Amino acid sequence: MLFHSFSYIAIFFPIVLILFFLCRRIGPPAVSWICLLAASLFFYGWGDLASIPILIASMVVNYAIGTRLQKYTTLKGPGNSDSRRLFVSGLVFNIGLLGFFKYTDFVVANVNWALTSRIALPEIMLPLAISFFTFQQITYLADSYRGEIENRGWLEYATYVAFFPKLLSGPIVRFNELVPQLRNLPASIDYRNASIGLLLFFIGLLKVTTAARVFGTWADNGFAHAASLSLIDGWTASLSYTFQIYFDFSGYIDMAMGSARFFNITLPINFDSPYRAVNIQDFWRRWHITLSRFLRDYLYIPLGGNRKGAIRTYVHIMITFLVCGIWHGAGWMFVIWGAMHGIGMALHRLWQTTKMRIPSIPAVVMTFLFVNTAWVFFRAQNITEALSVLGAMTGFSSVAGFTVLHGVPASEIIIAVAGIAAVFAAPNTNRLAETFRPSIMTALGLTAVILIGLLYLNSSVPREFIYLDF
Amino acid sequence: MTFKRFFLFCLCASLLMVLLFVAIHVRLNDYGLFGDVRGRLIPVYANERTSKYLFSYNYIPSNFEGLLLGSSLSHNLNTKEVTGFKIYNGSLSGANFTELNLIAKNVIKRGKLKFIVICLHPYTTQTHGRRSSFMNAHEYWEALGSLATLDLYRHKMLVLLGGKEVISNEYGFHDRNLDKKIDSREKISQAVNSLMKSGRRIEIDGMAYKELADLIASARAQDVKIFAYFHPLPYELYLAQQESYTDFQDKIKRLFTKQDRVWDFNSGQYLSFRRDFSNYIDHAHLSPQGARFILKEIIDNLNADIGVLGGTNEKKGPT
Repeated sequence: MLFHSFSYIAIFFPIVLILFFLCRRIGPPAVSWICLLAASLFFYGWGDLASIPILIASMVVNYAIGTRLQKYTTLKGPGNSDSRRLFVSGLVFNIGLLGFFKYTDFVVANVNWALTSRIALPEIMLPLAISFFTFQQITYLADSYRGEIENRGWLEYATYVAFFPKLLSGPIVRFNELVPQLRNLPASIDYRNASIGLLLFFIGLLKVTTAARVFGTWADNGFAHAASLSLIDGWTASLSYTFQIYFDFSGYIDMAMGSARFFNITLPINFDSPYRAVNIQDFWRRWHITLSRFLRDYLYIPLGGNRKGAIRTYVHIMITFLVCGIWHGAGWMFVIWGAMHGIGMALHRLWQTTKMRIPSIPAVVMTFLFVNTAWVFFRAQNITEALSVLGAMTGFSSVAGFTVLHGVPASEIIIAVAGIAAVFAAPNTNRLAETFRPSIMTALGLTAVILIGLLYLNSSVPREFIYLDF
Repeated sequence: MTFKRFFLFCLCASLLMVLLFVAIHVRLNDYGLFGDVRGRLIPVYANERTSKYLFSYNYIPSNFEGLLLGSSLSHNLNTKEVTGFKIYNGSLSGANFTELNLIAKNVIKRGKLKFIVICLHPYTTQTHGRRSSFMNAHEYWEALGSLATLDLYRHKMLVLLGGKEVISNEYGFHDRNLDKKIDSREKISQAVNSLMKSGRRIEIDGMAYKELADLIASARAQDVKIFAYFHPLPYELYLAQQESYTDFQDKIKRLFTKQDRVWDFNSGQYLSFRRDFSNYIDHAHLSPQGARFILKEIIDNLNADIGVLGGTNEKKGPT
C-alpha cells in the first residue's frame, strides 16, 4: 500500500489509528504492538502478499541471531570470538538473502555476456522493500554484537522491523532509535504530534502529487527521446529528473514521518535540503541521511575508514559508494552512479588537503551540477541513453527536432518554478515542523495544502513511487 | 490557538470542503454518471476520450438505443440528424478496438442497447492498446473532483460564454473535419503515390482482431443486433490496394454471422460516390455532403433490418 492513495489516507490509516488507541487504552503495551504489527503486515502484504513469508523469515532468523549475540555479549563481553562468528553468519544470511533475490538475474546476465553462454534468467521475484528491511536488520545485528541493544522479546523486535510508516522506503532506523519510543507509546492522541504529523504528511503528499509528477513527466519525455534532444532539452530532462527524485523521495519520507508522528514516534530525519550542499560530502550528510549513516557506520568505518593511510582511505570511499550504487539496483548504471559519487568524494577529500576554499554560492552550484550529472546515469536505461543526454547537455548533439516542454500547460510551469524556489530558498519540512506554531493562518494554509494534495491525488497522473524499486 | 483546536479545525475544514466539492460535482453531473439522466443532453466539453468513456457508464445506456463505433472516419456522422432511433456516436479520433471496446462493453453491460454499428477500416485494426493514459476505471472517481473536472468546467465556461464550440454534440458527433478546406483530389493522389512507392500491404494486428471479435461476442451475448460497414475508400486509393483490401475485408467478414448485417460501401453500387472528390475532405475523411449521404444509407439499412421507421432530418444542418 502506498501512502499517496485514498485507501491509505481515508481507510487504512484512520482505522489503524483508532484501533491502536483503543488497544492502548484497554490493554498493556503488548496489545498495541500486536495491533501495529498486524497493521504493518497488512500494509506490507496489500500489494505483495507473496513477500510476507520472506519478511517474516528474515525477521525470525535475525531475531534469533540477535538474541544469541546479546547473550554472548552479556556473558563474554562485546567482540568475543563466538559473537564474531555468529555476527558474520548473520551478515552472510542477510547479504545472501538480498543477493539471491535482488542480484541473481544481474549476475546470470553478466555471466551470459562474459562467457557468451545462454543460461536462462531465473527471474526471481523481488520482495518489496527487501533492501530496506535487510539493512535495518544488519544494524540490529551489528548493534547487538557491540552490546548496545537490550531486546525484550520477539513482539517488540517484529514491531520495530515491520513498523509500517518506515517499512517500505525508510528511513533506515536503528533499534535504539525506535524501540524506546515504542515502549512509551501514548494512551491517547497527542494533538501537538498529530498536528505536526498532519503537516508533514500533507506537505509530503503535495510534493509527490504535484512537483514530482510534473518533473517526472518532463524527465520521462526527455529520456524517452534521448537521441533527439537539443541543448535546452538535455538540461530540462536531466534537471527534471534531479528534482523529480528529490520531491518523490523526500515527499514520501515526509509522509512516513508524518504517519509515525500520530503514534508519537519521531523517525530520524532523512533529507536536509540536499541540493543546497556546498560539497559532495555535505550532500551525503543531507541526502538519504539514514543510508549515508548506515554506510559510514557499518561499512566505511569497519573497513578502516581514514585510519589506515591515504590510499586505503580512497579505496574505502570507493568501496562504500560502489555498495551504495549497487544497493539502489542490480544494474551497471547504478554502479557507475555510485562510482561517480565515490570519485567525487575522493576528489573533494584531495581538494580539502589544499586548504583552499570556494565561496558558498559557486560551491553549491558546482555540487548541484555534479549531482545532476550523476543522476543522468542513475535515470538512464543504458550508457548510450546517458551519453546522449549528456551530449545534448554539453551542446555536442546537433539534433534538435524534439522539445521536452512542448505543449506543457502553464499550471505545470508554475508548479515547477515554485518547486525549484522551495528547494533552494524555502525552509525544508523538518524546519517547518520544528518551528511550527498553531494559528488561524497556519490552519488555513494547511487546509489548502490538504485540499490541493487530495485534488491532485484524485487526478489521472502517473503516481508510481520511484524509490519503491530500490 | 491550541494544538487540539488547530488539528480539529484542519481536519473538519478539509472534510467539509471535500464533501462540498463532491456535492457540487454530483449536482453538475457533467459526465452523466450519477442518478437518473434520462432525457438529459450532455455534450463533450473537454477531453473526448475521458468524456465518452464516462458517458458509457450511465448517460449513453440511459438515453440511446444504438451506438456507432469507429475512428475519426465515422466521427463526423451526425447521428443527431437521425429520427426514429437515438444513436450515440461513440467514435474517437485515432481510436482502435481496444478503446472502442472500453466504451462498447460498458454500454452493452449496462443498457438496453438494441444495436451497434461498427465502422470498419484498416486503421482501426492495425494497432491495439490504449492510445493515451485516459479511459481508465479510476476516471470514474475523478468525476467527483479532479484536475480533469476543473479543466472540463473551464471549457464549459468558455462554451457558455461563446468563446468556443463543444468538442462533440450531445449525440457524440464531432465536426472538426468539416472545417477543413483541403483539396481532397490532391490528398488522394498523394496517398496513392505514397502507397505505390512503398508497396505497403494492409496488416491486421492480431490482438486488434481478437478485440473486434470480443466486441462482437459481447454484443451477441446481450442480444444486441450487430451492424457493420466498410468505410468507403476514394476510388483511386481503393484501386491502388484492391487485392490487399479484399484480403482485409475477407478476414474481417469471417467474424460476422448471417444474423449480423455487413454493408460494403466499396462495392460497385457506390462507385459514383467514391469517384466524386467532393464527398471527401482528404484521402479518407468524408466531407459534410459525403457524411450525410453515408449516414442516410446506414439509416435506410437499419430501417430495413430493424423495421423501425427512421431517417435523417434533412432540415437540420450539421451542428
